[in-house]
Amino acid sequence: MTDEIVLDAQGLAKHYPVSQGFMRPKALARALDGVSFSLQAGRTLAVVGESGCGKSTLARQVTMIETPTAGQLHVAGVDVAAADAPTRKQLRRQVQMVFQNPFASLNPRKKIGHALEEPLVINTALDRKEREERARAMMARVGLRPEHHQRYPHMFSGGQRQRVAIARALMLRPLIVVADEPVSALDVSIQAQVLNLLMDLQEETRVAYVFISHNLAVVELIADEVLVMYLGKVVEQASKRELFALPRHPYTRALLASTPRIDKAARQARQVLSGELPSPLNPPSGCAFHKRCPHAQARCTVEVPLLRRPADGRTEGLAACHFAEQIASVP
Amino acid sequence: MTMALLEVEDLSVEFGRFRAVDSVSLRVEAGEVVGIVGESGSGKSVTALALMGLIDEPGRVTAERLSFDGRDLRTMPVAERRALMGRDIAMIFQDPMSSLNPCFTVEYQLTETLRIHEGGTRRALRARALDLLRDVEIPDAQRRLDAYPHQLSGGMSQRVMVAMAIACNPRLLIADEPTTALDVTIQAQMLALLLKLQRERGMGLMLITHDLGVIAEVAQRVMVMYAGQVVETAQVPDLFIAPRHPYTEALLSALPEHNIGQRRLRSMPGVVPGAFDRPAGCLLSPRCSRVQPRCRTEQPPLFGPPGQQARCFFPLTEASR
Amino acid sequence: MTEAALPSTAASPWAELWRDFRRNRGAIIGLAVVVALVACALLADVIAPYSPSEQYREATLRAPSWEPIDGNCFLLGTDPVGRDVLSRLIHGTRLSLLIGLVSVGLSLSGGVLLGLLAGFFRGGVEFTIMRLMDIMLALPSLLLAVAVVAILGPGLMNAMYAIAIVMLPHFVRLTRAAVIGELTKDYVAASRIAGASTPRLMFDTVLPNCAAPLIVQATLGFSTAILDAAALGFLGLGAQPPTPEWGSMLASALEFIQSAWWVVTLPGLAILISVLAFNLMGDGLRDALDPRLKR
Repeated sequence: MTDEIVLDAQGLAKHYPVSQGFMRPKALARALDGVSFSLQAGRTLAVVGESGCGKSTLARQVTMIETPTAGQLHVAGVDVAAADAPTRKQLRRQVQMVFQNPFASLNPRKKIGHALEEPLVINTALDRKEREERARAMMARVGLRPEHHQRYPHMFSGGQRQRVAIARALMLRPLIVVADEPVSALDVSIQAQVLNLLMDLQEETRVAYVFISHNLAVVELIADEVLVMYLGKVVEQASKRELFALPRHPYTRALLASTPRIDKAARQARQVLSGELPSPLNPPSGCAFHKRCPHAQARCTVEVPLLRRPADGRTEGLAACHFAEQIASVP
Repeated sequence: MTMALLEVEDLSVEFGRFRAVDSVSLRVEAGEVVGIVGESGSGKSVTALALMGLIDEPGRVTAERLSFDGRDLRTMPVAERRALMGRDIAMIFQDPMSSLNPCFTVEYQLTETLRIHEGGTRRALRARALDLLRDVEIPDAQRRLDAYPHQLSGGMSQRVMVAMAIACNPRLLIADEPTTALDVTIQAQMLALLLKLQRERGMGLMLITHDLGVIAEVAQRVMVMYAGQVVETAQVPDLFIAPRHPYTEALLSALPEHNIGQRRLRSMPGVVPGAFDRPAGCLLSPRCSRVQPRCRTEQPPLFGPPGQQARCFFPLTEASR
Repeated sequence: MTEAALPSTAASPWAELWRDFRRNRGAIIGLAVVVALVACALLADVIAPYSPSEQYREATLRAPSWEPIDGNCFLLGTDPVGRDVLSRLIHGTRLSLLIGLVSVGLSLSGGVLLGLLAGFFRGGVEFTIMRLMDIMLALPSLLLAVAVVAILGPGLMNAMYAIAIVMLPHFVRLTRAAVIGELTKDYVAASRIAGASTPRLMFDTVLPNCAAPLIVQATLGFSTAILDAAALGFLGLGAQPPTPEWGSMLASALEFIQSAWWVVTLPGLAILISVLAFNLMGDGLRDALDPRLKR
């Protein structure tokens, strides 16, 4: 069974002009600076990074809320930038989103039924009865009860709201669902339920996920491919298995080392990363990570590392580090 | 050590007929890190607020014993209690962005605690504030003193809050989800900082969180809460190696890190009971996979020696694991 | 945030609003008075003892009394030309409420539309609209109203237009601020991703969430409108005689303030009570809507 590529991005970039004050030239915040990946049907691409890394900006480009400053985006083989208005509307149906905050992603003044039926109202010619049937079917599928149809969001818990959000995202049967930290705001036991739901739905519908998360434990469970981002750039890109077995980039290693773990054996040498994410308005020269990197050398302050396959051939993935090969041999 | 720093016995907090916290007992010794773990609705934050005296009407706080350093907090006059808060007992909160007053500079807020409890000239206070910022490892401390909260990142704001909390050298620091709102690398920095400060100053640290991983790394003793009750207490390695209460076990098995390689996560059905649907017997009975008829009708008390208790008629043993 | 199961009652936001509103005693009193005023207005023809314009020449400037004069009982006295003050007041209710409704209605619709445009489109559109509103706000409201009426000509209808124009900037600013606040929220992005067009986003998605401050402003706007109409009437620019509008009733009888207090005081009292009732109701609404938002 060939899995066709449903989402393809080449060199996506998004720069925001930021006013520096009256009469001063505008600065450029490079929120996204050259991201490329491709995603197949039924697979999950995890985008990992901390706040300010550009993952939310990436989500906005992929869901076509914004147009990228540079780069290309192909949804189901169609070039988004070259598409005319009706085609774009069609494409929009193929990419839907689940947001992080379950308390802000549902319209507080609309009943759940209305929220679920809205995508159908806008995009299809179904009559009221058919829409309601579909909404109720989806509600049952995500584990909501029929009487919830007429309730308002504030009557639901966080986990239930996320189920509604997932149901809403799937109403149009999209090819791709961008999930922006969908379980970060949920308790552990609810998180498990919602993750199971997401995985079940993926099996059933062959939907592809772009799964944004800062929680590497969740990523290790749900992802097929992983993209690690730092200050708008991809610093490592690998299959899940490879990334967790042999992380190549110092930032990936730092992320893994910083995640609190229960099993002592799994806890790698505690390497607390110093400093904070630099401002995207004033990125460091050379490698953006060099100020915090424990392995930084002189070369890192001048030369921007390219995303490349490390020459030692131990892994298939890509890493943007001058010394990826040397670092791998350090435990 | 004869007297514990903080001794709480049978603490309950009621809002009308709803018991947010039900007969919680705990103790914290000086220099110890105690963790309170629970999900939303467990009552862990309300417990902390009750200890600090921050529960307003219509909440009612009752306790068999509530003493700090031998002094009874329940009968203490208001002025004395206020002198205690911020000086001997300090608290840091989850969301640094809303815990700092956006209208005042960092210096003003840092020195506020000092002014109230110790006093001094403006210059002396500023010097103290600078020292505090250095203690919490804020880079470029001089500039940060004059900054406003909105100019600081999440991690920075949290450090400022920690600085405010330790300003008067408290004996006990209560940290309510101090790392939840932070990125994972900043989280690691914050935990390392809290531990360092705790060791240096011999503070007792009460860490409230929903993150079991944080507890595993940092705490010595832990208390698990569910729907307002304590369901298990244990020493830290023991809780994770051999949990006694089914809820603890379910929590651990629902963690992603314990499900690697599995097709699906082992999850517990249902949700935490709220104010309106509390079961007659054990509060976990509607969701527990090991439920027996007795569990549905009788409320289990805490069984076991202090420090190793479980609120279950049929706790997990070696045989049943 | 609680994961606990929530009560099974599916209370709509309106039912919850009513429940919170009910707790405020002042608000309930205000509401009761407003309801009474509305009843007066609707049933004016039925409950007023006499016609508001009928002149009883034999009973001019009579003090309020229970005793009938030639078989006619003027409970609140008569005015200089012998018209029953009580009947005029009751009919005046109709006019005051009409003024409130029309002025606030016009102002609200126009203000919401301009506010939505400013908030959604930003840039040049926002700049133009908001600067225009700033100019309007810079002028004293009464002078502005007088200016409008001077252009349009005196009369009750024109007075209502003038009042609507004076109130417009408040609604525009409120709406724009609320819209900008809501636009950053995820549910708007969710609707956008579902493919919602801008008009749908404006009116169906965002506007219902901006309702709270607008409702409060509209209720308080009622009392402002009544006062402004009274002021214009007082200046002779609003309702023209013999219309029984409370402000013009005040204006035409000022000279009698010493000799026949009831002709001046009673219309003034009517204005006072109505304005107070609307203000109490508006405050109650604000309190009821706020905690809900905080929750």
